[in-house]
Amino acid sequence: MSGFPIYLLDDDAPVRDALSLLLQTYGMKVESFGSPEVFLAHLDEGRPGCLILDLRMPMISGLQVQERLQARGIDWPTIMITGHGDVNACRRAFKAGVMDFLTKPIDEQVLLDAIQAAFQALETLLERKEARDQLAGLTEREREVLEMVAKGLSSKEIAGALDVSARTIDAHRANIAEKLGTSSVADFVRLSEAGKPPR
Amino acid sequence: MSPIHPPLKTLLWTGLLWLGLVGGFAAYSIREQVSAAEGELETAGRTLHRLISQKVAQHDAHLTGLVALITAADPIPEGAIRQVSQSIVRFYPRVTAIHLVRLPMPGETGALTILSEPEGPAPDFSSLAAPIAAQRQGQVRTYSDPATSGRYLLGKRATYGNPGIAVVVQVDPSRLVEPEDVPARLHLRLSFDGQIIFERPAAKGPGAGPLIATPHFSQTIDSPSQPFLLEGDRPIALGDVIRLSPLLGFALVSALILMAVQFALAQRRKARQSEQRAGLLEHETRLAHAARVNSLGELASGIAHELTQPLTALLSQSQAAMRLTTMPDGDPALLAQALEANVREAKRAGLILKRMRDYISNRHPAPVLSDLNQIVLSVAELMRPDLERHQIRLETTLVQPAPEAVVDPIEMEQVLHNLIRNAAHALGTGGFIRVETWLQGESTLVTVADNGPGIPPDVLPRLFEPFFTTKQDGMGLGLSLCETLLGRVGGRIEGRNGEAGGALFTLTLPLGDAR
Repeated sequence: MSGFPIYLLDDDAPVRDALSLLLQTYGMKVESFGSPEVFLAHLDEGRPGCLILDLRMPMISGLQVQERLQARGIDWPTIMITGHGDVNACRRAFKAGVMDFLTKPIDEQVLLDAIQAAFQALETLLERKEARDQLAGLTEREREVLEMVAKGLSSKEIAGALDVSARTIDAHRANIAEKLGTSSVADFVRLSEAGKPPR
Repeated sequence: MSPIHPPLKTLLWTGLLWLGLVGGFAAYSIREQVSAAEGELETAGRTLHRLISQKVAQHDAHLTGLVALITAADPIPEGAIRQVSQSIVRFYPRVTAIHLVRLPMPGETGALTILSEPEGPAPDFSSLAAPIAAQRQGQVRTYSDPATSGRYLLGKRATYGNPGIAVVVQVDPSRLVEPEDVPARLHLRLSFDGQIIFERPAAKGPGAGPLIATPHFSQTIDSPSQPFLLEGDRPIALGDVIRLSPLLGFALVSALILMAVQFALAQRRKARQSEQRAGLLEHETRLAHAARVNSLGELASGIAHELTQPLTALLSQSQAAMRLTTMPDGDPALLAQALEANVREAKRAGLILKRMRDYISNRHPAPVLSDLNQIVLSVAELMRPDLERHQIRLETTLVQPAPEAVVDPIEMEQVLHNLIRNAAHALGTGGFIRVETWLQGESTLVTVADNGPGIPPDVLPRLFEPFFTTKQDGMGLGLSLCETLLGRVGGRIEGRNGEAGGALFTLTLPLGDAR
């Protein structure tokens, strides 16, 4: 299993304990919280993980917690759990960008599948973030050239399209390779794709 | 109004209707009787008219026959005339006499009777001589008999030579009518030239009571020679037409029918009223049930949420425990911990279910000596999660020793549930609800107070009115039901605004006899 931590928020201690124990038997790192305030205060932005939030809690609902996290720029995959299979709550949750919506009591396999999917989403998210960070170091012209290389165009073709010499394009490619730490066209394609904003 | 005894007004109208019916029946039967009598008179009059007309026509025929005989030979065949006259008088008893009269010559006076049948001294016809002499040929005329009252004479001139001969026939008008042809109650009169020539009073007078009608019949006899006026009267007295037994019978029957109709109408009214009452009752029962189900629906939703938690814990702990047993390095302490948690959670679920069962239980109200503090705690525990979701604080302050009252605990819980739910509704989000128990003399009080907007003054007087509600989707039965439930156990409920604002409901219950 992936090494991402799982952040669990539920006001009911027995539920919290049970889910923690179950996930721990799968070797997952679970950090559980009984109150939204404590949860929001202790969440480490430097340690991305999967969020499991109880929808119905006194004072602050799971959705409100998620909103506050998004306000802080934390958009980690979220699994909403609830005692009510309320269609409206479910719709609102998905609109708010929740990955999955599970109804209590939650079956082991369903929970594991959801967490698996969340981890994959988190990985992609982090890759994108990294790619964006790397691409951010390129100049406008370099990004343009990278885009065309990723599309499979040759230096000569790119030169023709941009109305510059092939030598200039080669210089750009050398700079790009240096900045991204790779000269492989396959890496270029991967980074270019990951760097695009998610659709 | 009582459905069994019709109101006085109805009785009065029925009485008037009955009088009208009986009066109508009497008037109808009088009219029928009078009309029947008129018909009878008309028929009898026509019959008499026909008979008299036939008879007087026979007189003309006799005269014609006699005149023919007189003129048949010269000298006058007296023998034959006598013979014919004898047979006429014998066969027609109303023809009482036949005379042959020689009219006076010019210059003479008096008339000489030549022949009389029956024989005897001849009457003096001198007063008739001139008028008969003046009669046209073939004409027959009626004269009153100067000698015998109650008879009339018919005169006809037989010869026009000198001296002229005339035939005079004396008729007894009373024999123109056979007694059996005259109805008993008919008063008959025959007159000529305004003079009554024959009158026959009714054999039977009118009945008792005043005369109400006197049908009259009059017709002139069809005869140029004897144009008598035939008149008949049939006086009708009230006693003749009022048949007491049919009238009494009708009065009795109609009274019975009216009473029956009255009774049937009353029954129908009663049936309709009880039907309406039943409909209303059914409506109320249905609404009350709906209110109960509604509050139970809310309750069920709360309980479902509560049950979900232990079930979630149970499922996950069990699955974790199963994993632990299959792991080679599974920690037995962890397994025991998981199983202990399961036992705890199962018990928790059981408790929730027990509470639900106690609350929903369909058993009939069974007032028992109950600990009110316990009831308050039970409801508070049930409602707290839902209230907390709306950030409403539920506080309970319970007096010690715990007050006991003879109530149905479940109904009491419903009352408190209603009051707390109303308070929560008034509060919306945030605020607090305080439930307290008190001891006050022989009573125990339970107060439910909130710090919401309070009860509007215009709503206060109608708080416990059924179907009165300020909630958009409310039915207005909650507080009304509370009042009913409390009333059943000798308690009461009051609602007002607290000194510090917000609504304050006070339940007052008689203390149980345990302490």
